[in-house]
This record gives sequence, structure tokens and C-alpha cells, in this order.
Amino acid sequence: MRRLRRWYDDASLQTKFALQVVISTKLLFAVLLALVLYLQRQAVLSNVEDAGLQLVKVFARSSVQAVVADDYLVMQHVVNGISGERKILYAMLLDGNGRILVHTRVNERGKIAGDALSTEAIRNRTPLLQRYSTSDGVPVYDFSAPVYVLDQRRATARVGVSIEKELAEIARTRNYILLVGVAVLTIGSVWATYQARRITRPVGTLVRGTNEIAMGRLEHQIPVRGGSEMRQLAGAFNRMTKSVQALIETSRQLSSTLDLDAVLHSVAAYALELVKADIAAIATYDREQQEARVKVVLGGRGTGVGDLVIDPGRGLGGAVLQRKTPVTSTNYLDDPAIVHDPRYDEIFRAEGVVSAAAVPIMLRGEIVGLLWVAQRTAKTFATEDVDLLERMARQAAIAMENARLYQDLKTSNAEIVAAQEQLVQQTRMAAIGEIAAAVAHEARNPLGAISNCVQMLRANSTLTGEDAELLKIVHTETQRLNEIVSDFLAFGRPKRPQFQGVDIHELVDTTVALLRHDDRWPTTITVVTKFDPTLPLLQADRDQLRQVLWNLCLNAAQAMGDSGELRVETSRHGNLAEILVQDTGPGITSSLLPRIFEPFFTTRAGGTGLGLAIVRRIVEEHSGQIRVDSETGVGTCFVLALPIDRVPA
Amino acid sequence: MTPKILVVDDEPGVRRSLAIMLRRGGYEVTEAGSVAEAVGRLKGESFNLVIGDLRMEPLNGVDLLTLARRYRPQCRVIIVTAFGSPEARAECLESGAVDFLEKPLDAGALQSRIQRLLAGDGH
Repeated sequence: MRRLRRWYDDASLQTKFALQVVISTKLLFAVLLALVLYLQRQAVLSNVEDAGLQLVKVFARSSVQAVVADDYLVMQHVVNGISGERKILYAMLLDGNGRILVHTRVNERGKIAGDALSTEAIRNRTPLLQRYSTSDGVPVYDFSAPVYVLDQRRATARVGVSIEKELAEIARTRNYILLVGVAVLTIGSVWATYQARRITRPVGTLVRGTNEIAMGRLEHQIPVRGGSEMRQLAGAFNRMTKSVQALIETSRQLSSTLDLDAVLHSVAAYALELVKADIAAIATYDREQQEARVKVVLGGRGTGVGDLVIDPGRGLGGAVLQRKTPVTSTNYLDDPAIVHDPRYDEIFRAEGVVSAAAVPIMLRGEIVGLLWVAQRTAKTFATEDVDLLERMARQAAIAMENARLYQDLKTSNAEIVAAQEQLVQQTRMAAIGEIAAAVAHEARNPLGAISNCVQMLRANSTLTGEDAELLKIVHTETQRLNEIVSDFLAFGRPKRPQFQGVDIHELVDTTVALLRHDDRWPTTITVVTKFDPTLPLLQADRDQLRQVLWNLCLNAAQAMGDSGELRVETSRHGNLAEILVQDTGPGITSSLLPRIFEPFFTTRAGGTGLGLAIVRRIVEEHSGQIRVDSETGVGTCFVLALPIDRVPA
Repeated sequence: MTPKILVVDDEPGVRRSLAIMLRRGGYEVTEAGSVAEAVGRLKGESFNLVIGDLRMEPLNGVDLLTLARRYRPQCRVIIVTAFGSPEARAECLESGAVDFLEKPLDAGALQSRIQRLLAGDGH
């Protein structure tokens, strides 16, 4: 029994279904058969009973006169008349003591009938039916009725009727019904099995589909067939797997790529497919600007959905931004619940948008964007559509968060790397500067001595010709060496600026005048100055600022060579004084431009490469900025921006 | 016949003083402020010796070696430099320099070196 039960539990739905149908029809058939047989038997037998009772009563009444008269001949006649029918087995009259007065079988006459049937028949005061079977197995109905003569019971009439024929009739009918029944049931079972298979086939398909999906083949789709419930089931199942597939696919992307656009694109694509929309778009919300900008559009006709800027409160998207809840509209353009904006309506009309839905993309309770879908035919977006969209929106939110975190990480990383590089550079430069300054410092003393000697020799010179020239070379080279040493010292051991009011225009003029006396200054260069008279005194270190102007102007002049124009201009921009030093030299190649402020970087033979490095440091110590523009063949322009008043650091 | 020396340096102080020194040593000295100018001179006349600086712009001492050998294959070239690395020395000698000297130049040493070099030229 247990095994049977286990077998049944493990059996397929189809088997169970067929089995149930067959068993229930069989049971029904059995009950009906029993009922039919019972009723038929009842009908047949009650006919026999009625007829039998009628017969025994007639027999009893007919026997009254003969009994009164003790006329056996008449009695025998009556009995014989009754037994004319074949199914009447016997007819008899018994007296009160059970003696057989008359019997269809003449030799029974005079015998005492002491059997239970006879006793019961004699004892009973009303007509009686007793059922029994003869020793040959013949079923018999024994009818008996009392024979009354003037209220006195004188005899009992008994008739035995064989019901063999009736029972045979009933059996034949039963067999016939059984035969037909079995045939019908067989056909019915086959039909039931077929139907079971037909009805359970979609379930089987669903099961196979589930197995496919369980094995990870999410692209598997179940054919939508069968009755409405099965169709709904398969449809729901397909939607579910698509939704799961979309979630898995976007999750996979989320974990494998930090490319925000790629993830948003795929989220939009799934949203489009899952709710069977015509257009899908994702916009990101800028909290500072208080507007959302469309990042991704799919299915659009290029009418400018991608350029939309969504303001909170305006249009469907704006409603979502304001309420932070999903908003749907079956007939967008005529929807009175939407605050219409001609900018949006014009585009949506061109796109043929009829229905639309949008859900917020939320991150920690803050709105960070919105997912918008639209249909070019009328569609009422169901709760399950909105659910799907919200699910996709959550994926988009994660992608946005990941992208933001990644960007933060990249920025911090770049900052750290830059800071580290700067630190390394500064440490290196400080060490180099220190060595350079130490060497320069030691070199200054012998240099000073040489310089003094040369000056004395030149002041009192009797030298002529080549000798005078040699002395001049010594003098020039000593000066040059002194400048190199000074550059190294200025770079390696910078002085803290001593701030005082400086007239920048006066400083430019005196610096240019000094430069004109320098041997390296080409006399053929034109100097043009253009000063802004409103510029007040600058808070700056006069010596350091002169060094800046000196270095910039000398660089410019040396770059130009024999001919060119040096422009020095000043102008005021708020608290900033701008000083422009421009030449018409060959310019600096753009690839070298970023390096020109590096210490020891030089494009000129004989240069130390410290001039511009010193300039930059002085400018920075003055809380100012320096930038350079250069075009090959046109010239180079340095622009200094220095604060007029000291800004506390 | 007085040996002819071509001095090539883009720094006038260095070039002039070296030229004066060599002239006083008895040589006929011609000066050139750049490699281009030196090549111009080499095309026009032959020199017994060329003394050139290594670091010059736009063409440098190695260019001078190459060009000198092209126009005057027999001409000897000495390269001088303010700061000479072993690599620079090797490069110059490979390019055909007869000597590689570092500044500052010792007047006496330079004179005797030049004398030895030019000994085969009829002195």
C-alpha cells in the first residue's frame, strides 16, 4: 500500500490526471450500474409479487365454496387451473394443521406440510410472500393467503412461483449493461488519457521551461498556447523570466563594468522590452541645478528627446521628480493631471507619444534620476509594468552610485598620485637646490676676489689690443659667473619676500633701462610699454619682482635675437594686477611648453634653466599666478597675475 | 708654413680667448661662432686642425665632426667640453675626433698636445 502510495506520489501529473478521471468514471459507472440493476430488479420482482399476491388471493377466494363443501374435486380443478402457467411451480391448499388438502401434484395430497414456510403461511393472517430457493437452486416466491369462511379461517392457499426467468432476464440486462459499460469506459479511459495529456502538456512545457531556467538558460521562452489559464500562466512565467533575466543581465553588467552609459543603456533596453514600450529614456538629476538631463534614449525618432532638460513639476518626468513616485498617463498630451510644457509636448507630439510612464531612480531616499517609457498607442500601464520599471530603476541607481564612487576613487587617486609626484619633485628639487646653493655660496668668495681684481686692472689699464680684450673677456665672464651663482642661490636658498608698496610701472622702466646696458641685450629690439594708470602700488618684494621682470624680459630678448618687439603691458582685474610680457620670437614648441618652468630645463645653450623656475617660485610666494601662451613663428606671451593687496595665506 | 687652426664655439668669451692663446702659440687661427659657419670655412679652405665645443646650438660638436669629415676627410678635429661624460667621449672618438678635452683647458698642455698632433705636418 505504501509502495502504491509512493508510486502515486512520484507519478507524473498526466498519469495522476488520467488515473483520477478513469477511477472516478469507473466509480460513477459502478454506482449507476448498481442503481440501475436494483431498480430493474425491483420493477421486475414487484410485478411478480403483485401478480403472485393477486393470484393467491383469487385462488383463496375461488377455493372458499369448495373448502366449505369439502369438495376436493372442485379444489383440484381450481388448483389445476392455476398451475396452467409454466412458471407456477405449485399450488396447494392447507388446512389449519398443515395437512395438504389439495396440491398440483396429486400424490402430495393428505401429507402434512411441517416445513418452516408452511408453518409461517398457516400462522399468518394476511397474504404473505416468502422467498426461498429449492434444493436445485431455483429461486421461488411462495405466496400464501388465508381462506376465510364467514370470518373463520378454514384453510391456507399457497402458490409457488419460480422467478428463475425474471432473474435470468435481470442477469442478461446486467451483462448487457456491463458489456456496453466496459466498452464505453475503455473508450472513455483512452479519451481521458488523451485529454489528460492535452491539458497537462502546457504544464509539462512549463516544467521543462522551469528546468531550462533553473539551468541558467534564461533566454528560454515558453510557447504561449492552451486554455486561457495556461496561456496566462505561460505569459506570466515568460514575463517573470524576462524580468529575472533583465535583472541578472544588468546586475552582471553592474559587477563587470563601471561604464555608466553602458549600464544605463542596457537598463533602458530591458525596460523597453519588459513593458513592451516604444521609447525608453533615462535622465540623471542634478541636485544643484535642480534639473534632470536625458542620458540615454532608445526607440526615439531623433526629435530631441535626448536633449531634454526636465524641470521638477513640469511634464510627466517633472511630476516624478517632484513627487518621487511613479507617474503614468494613458493619454499624455490631453492629460489634465500633467502640468504641460510646450517644450516637452512639441517633442512628444513629434515622437507620436500617446501613453507614458516614468519612475524615479532613488538612492538613499534621494532622487538621482528617472526612467521614462512611452507608447505610440494608447496603453494603460499596469501595476506590474510599474513594478518592473521600478526594479530596473533600482539597477540604474546602483550603476549611478558605482559610477560616482568610481569617479571619486579615480579623482582621489589622481590627487594622491599628483601630490606624491609633487612631493617627490619638491624633495628632489630641495636637495638639488641645497647642493647648488652650497656650491654657489662657496664659489662666491673666489668669484668676488676675481671680480675685484679685474675691476682694478680695468680701471688702471695700460693694456691695449688683444690684452685689453682678454681682460674684458675676464670681466664679462666673471659677471656671467656671478649671475649663474646668484641664480643657483636664489633657487636653492630662496629669501622670504619682504612686502612693501611697489610701483610696478617704475619697476618695469628701471629694469628695462638696466637691461639695455647688459651685454646680452640686443640693441636692435624695440620695447613697447602700455601701462594701466589706475593700477595702484602692489604689495610685493621689490627685488624679487625686479628679478621676475628681468628674467622674463631677458629671456624674451634673447629668444628674439637681432630684431623684434618686446611688449610689457599692465592692467587691473579686481584685486589682481596683470602684467603681460610678450615677444615676437620663434615661440616654444607646444610639447616643451609644460616643462619650461621646470628647474634646469633650458632650450638655450649656456642657460642654467633656472630663470623661469625662479620666476614661478617668486610669483607663487606672492600668491600670484603665471601662465604662458606660445605659438611657433609668432611669439611667446607670459601673463603674471599678482594680488594688489596682500591676501593672508 | 704656419699651421691653420679653426676654433668653433658659440660662446664668444671662450672662443676669443682660445683663439688669442693659440695665435700667441704661433698658429694661424680662424674663428667660427657656429657649426654652420665652421662648415662654410671648411668648404673654402683646408685647416690642419679644428677645435670645436661639444655643446652648441643648433648643431653640436658631433655634427661638426660628421660635417668636417664629409668636406675634409683628412682634417683632424679635437672636441672640447665643459662637462664630458664617458658616453660623450666615446661618441666623439667613434665619430672621428682625434682627442676629447675637458674645460678649463691648460694652456701649456694644450700647446704640447697640438704640437705632437701636427708634428707630421712639416714642423
